[in-house]
Amino acid sequence: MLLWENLKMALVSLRNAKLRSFLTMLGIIIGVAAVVSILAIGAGVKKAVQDQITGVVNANSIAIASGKVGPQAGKNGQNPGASAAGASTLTLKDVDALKTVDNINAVAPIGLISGIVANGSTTAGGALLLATSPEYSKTQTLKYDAGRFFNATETKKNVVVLGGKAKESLFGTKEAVGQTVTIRGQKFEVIGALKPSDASASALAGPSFDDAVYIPFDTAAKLTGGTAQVLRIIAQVEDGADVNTTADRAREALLASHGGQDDFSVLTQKDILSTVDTILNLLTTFIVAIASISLLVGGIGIMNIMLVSVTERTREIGLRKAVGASSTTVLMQFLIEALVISIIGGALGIGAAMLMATAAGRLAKIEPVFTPEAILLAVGVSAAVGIIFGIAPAIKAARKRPIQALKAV
Amino acid sequence: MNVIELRGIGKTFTDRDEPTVALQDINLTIQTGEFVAIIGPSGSGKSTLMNILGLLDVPSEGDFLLDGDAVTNFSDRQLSKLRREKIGFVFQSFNLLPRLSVVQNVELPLVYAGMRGRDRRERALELLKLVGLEERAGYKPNQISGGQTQRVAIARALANEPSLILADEPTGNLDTKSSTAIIDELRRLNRVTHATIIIVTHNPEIAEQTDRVITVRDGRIGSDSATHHHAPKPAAKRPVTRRVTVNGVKSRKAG
Repeated sequence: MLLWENLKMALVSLRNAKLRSFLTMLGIIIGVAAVVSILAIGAGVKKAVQDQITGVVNANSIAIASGKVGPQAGKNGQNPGASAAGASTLTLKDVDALKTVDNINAVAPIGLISGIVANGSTTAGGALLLATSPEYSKTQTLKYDAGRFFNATETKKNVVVLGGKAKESLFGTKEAVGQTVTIRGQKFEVIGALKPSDASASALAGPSFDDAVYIPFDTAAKLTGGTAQVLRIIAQVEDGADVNTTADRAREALLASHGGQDDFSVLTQKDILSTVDTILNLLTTFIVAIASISLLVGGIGIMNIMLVSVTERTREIGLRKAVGASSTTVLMQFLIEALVISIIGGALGIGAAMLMATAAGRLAKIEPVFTPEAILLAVGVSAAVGIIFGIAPAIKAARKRPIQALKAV
Repeated sequence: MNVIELRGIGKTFTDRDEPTVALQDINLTIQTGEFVAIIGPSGSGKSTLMNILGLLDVPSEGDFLLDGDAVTNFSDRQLSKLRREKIGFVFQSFNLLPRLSVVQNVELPLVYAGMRGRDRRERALELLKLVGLEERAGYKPNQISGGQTQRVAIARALANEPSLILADEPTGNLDTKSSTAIIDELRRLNRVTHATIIIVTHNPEIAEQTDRVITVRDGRIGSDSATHHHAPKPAAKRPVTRRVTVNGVKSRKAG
């Protein structure tokens, strides 16, 4: 009962000193807003990148890369940079070797070609020229706007499947299938166009497969005047089979194919995600640490205001005790006041964070993700700050004998 | 029935450069229903005595029995209980909370006594009516006059129907008319409710209107009209001139 009365008294006190209450809250509002919005943007970036990855490498996929990349980067003394960008250690032989592994039901090589894709004078800006095999369509859930993927009879033909964005750049809303485009000067027939995907390109995740343009592997070899490099191999594991076990078997098969040289990486979706996770977590932690400084400053601000407030209200404390309040009751009142300030400040901070993060996200094309953990953390810390800094001076004042407190200036 | 019993009470303030003895060797008994004035010059220790009686301060030595209980050993919780149940204190400077309205100020002791909102408001308004200020219920302390503030303070002191009312210079800052009104009100309370009332004042005219006058001087009790006791005057510190006759010649000699 007295708790309720204290709460009402606390609210009255705060309302009577609106400006001061707001200034006290300001520190918390800013600190919470900074921390929560940064965490939200970080989470949003993480999700965007993860969506990118899971879009291509689904849970049943295995990606094989040249050299040692991802979680195995630097292994065997292989330079991660060279592993990622240098001439590939993978060959079409590896693709055949993987086809024999149990539980793998589709294997496709992916090669990267550079060149201009154009429809007359319109070019597909940022288009990713990918060379792959017909089995690629079995490793992905491709959503077709029109047409189809190339099949086994077309592996040496000049046919192309356009990704959603590329199709839009080149043909707008007009029909693309049946039309001709030029790739590196040569004419190609468009036999399929994909729907635009949700995973959009971003500065962080790089070009998405929405920007991609697919041609058959052998055709690409012809274009580049030699055997095109197999940059990646993507393999699809049967439903129900264990991806990790299959990945191990794939590793063995490739080792054999490479004559015992462990110069490749076999990655499951989990592997790729965890690498991304690690990098982004590190970045986020660092930035949050900096933002937390503002929370600390906010706490110091509260402490100053509380000190002033309690000193001013020492007389009030003495009077309340003189008419029958116990020290505990008086302390409870100040504790509740500090809590109310912290919680209202925290709530306002979260509101501000939502505004800021959404605005920033719109600029950077990232959707912020607000997790309950982030919000709880921010509010918890701000409440703790408010209580600790607000209570210490109040305890001191509440201990005084009433007449001593009353005599305080 | 003794409501107040002081035995060998002393108070020394040590929070200054030199320890200051405010009270020493105070022995006093006050019975239920008495109407007492404590009078003394400024610095005599009368306010300190009042603060001890009102449980606002603790003595450095001696025993204080309130209604037979040895309150000198009471805990903070027990003391605050007594403050809200037994004692109504009217302060010298009015000590209303400036941010609360008049009626909220009067309600304050009732809040700590656990009275519910509606009942509290009713009682507070009754008390304001008693002191003639029910129309100022919603005003803030800075919006009413000094005399009115003092009456609000009295209304608040009466909130929990205390058996002991202590008023430290209740008429100090007031004009004659208001002063008389307040003393009359206190006397009326004493006669009607049999509350024990102790007033501290420096004004002999006020003191005369009570039933018993206790003087305080230099931290001790000087006289007590109840016992017709007069303490011996302290030894003179100044040289006294005496008339002496030497060899038949009258003259003055410093002694």
